[in-house]
Amino acid sequence: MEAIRSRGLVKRYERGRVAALSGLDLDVPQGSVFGFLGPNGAGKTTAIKVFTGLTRPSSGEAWVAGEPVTGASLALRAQIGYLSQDQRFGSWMTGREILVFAGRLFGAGREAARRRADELLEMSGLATAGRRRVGGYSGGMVQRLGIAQAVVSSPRVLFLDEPCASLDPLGRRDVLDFIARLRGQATVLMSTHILADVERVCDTVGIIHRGVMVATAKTAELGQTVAPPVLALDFETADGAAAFSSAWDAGHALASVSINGAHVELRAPHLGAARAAALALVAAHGLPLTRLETRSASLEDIFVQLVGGSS
Amino acid sequence: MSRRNFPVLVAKEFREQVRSHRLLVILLAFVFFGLASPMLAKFTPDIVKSVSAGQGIEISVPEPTAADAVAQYVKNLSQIVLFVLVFLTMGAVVSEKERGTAVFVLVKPVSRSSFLAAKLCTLWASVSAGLVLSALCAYAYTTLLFAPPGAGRFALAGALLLAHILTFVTTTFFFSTAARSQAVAGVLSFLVWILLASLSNVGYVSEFLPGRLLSLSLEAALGGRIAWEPLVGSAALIVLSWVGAVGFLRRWEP
Repeated sequence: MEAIRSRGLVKRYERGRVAALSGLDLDVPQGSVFGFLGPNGAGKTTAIKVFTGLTRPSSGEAWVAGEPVTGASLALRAQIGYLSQDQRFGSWMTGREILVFAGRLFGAGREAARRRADELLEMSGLATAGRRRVGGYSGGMVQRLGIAQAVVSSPRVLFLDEPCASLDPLGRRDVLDFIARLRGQATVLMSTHILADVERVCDTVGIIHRGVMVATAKTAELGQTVAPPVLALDFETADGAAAFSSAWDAGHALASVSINGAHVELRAPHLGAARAAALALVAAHGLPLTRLETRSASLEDIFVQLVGGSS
Repeated sequence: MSRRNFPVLVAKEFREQVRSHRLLVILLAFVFFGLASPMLAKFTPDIVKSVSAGQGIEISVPEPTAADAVAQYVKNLSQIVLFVLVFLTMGAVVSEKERGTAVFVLVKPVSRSSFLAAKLCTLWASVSAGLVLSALCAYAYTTLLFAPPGAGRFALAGALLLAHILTFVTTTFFFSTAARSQAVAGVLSFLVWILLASLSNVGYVSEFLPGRLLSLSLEAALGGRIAWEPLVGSAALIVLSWVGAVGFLRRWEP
């Protein structure tokens, strides 16, 4: 069963002139950590706002944790946690007060909310800052507090909009580890444009572009389904790489070749045939080749292939 | 409205009023004019006499009475204090929308009407507490400087004055929900204030205007009859403002 599901989700702004979502079909399996990937302005934040009931769709349907998504649904919001892209809190409150307040809004008693707040402050590395006003927190501390308040009710579905924004490398590592630990306990939808974060913690990835999903697959399988492996060739000199590229372009219209100094990458529908052709070309022109390797397409390759050049 | 969350939201609003010193400003404004109004009524004739004597002019000012003290009190609260309250209220909702802190609450299992009701109830409670304190001060000073006004009549006058102030606080609250900035909310509130004042000479309609509560408040203090029309008009304005505020916030998308 899917924890998050949408069919034909459309969201238009400015009296219909601007479409942020153009028929989004999404299925996020229960218990997965889903990387919601897309360039800036692709519709990630709008989709999350629709799923959390903050924004109404112009048309289409969506369900989260089995509940139909409508703006007024308290039953939906009782089951979700949400970290905004630009999380803000009242600067007059302390970190602990915010977590206690958030817990109590989910129906926790005063003592239970305090215990949970202390537990989350400890977990997010804010134990010593918990009694200080949030107005004095750094961007990273606010972000960690934002994640803590999002999980205060142990939600079934957690929406994290750019959770690693404004975090230093250590903070980022901690947050990603924390998200990885949620696998199996909650369904996490994490929007980001940082490919490395997705590769590190997400078991499923969806790529959104111009308001529609252009690919969804298990992270490990995405390369096989969307982008073929890459043939990488290293020449002794950049001139050798350039000569290879010119010769290749002339005879292999179906394959694309990219060149970076003495390094050449080939993408072709049939890599076996391409490899044989490349070796034949190297031998025929007497080019000084130092290395030839076939590697799987990285998430970056896939991302660039799907959205690059048209964003 | 989610009743379970309501006390939690009210407690948060009250704490915010205390920490931001808004509650202190409200109470101080009310208490100051509660104390100052009878004194102003008492000493204004002396001040006028001393100023005119210095310029060689003789102005005859009648001896002030408790009624003058009450009139001064009603005037100060309905103008200066109300002005302060509009400034304190115009950001009640729109500032949270602008800063992004409203989203933090509205994505939790909290209805938008609960969110608004907690804010408005806290505001009403603070204003009511301020008016009670101020009325006690005004009553004590009027008794000290003039004759004691009838306690029941004075309380009734205070209640009518409170109804007038709460009506305008609620319309400002509506604009704070509907407008896109604090400045716009403030300007629209003052415009409504002026518009309603300008209708005070328009036949039967004027009987229903909240502004009539002020003259009614004075009449009540002097033992006059209470008319129901301005109370109905004020209640209608409060209900309209509330319904409008809820409608606007339900449609709002962050």
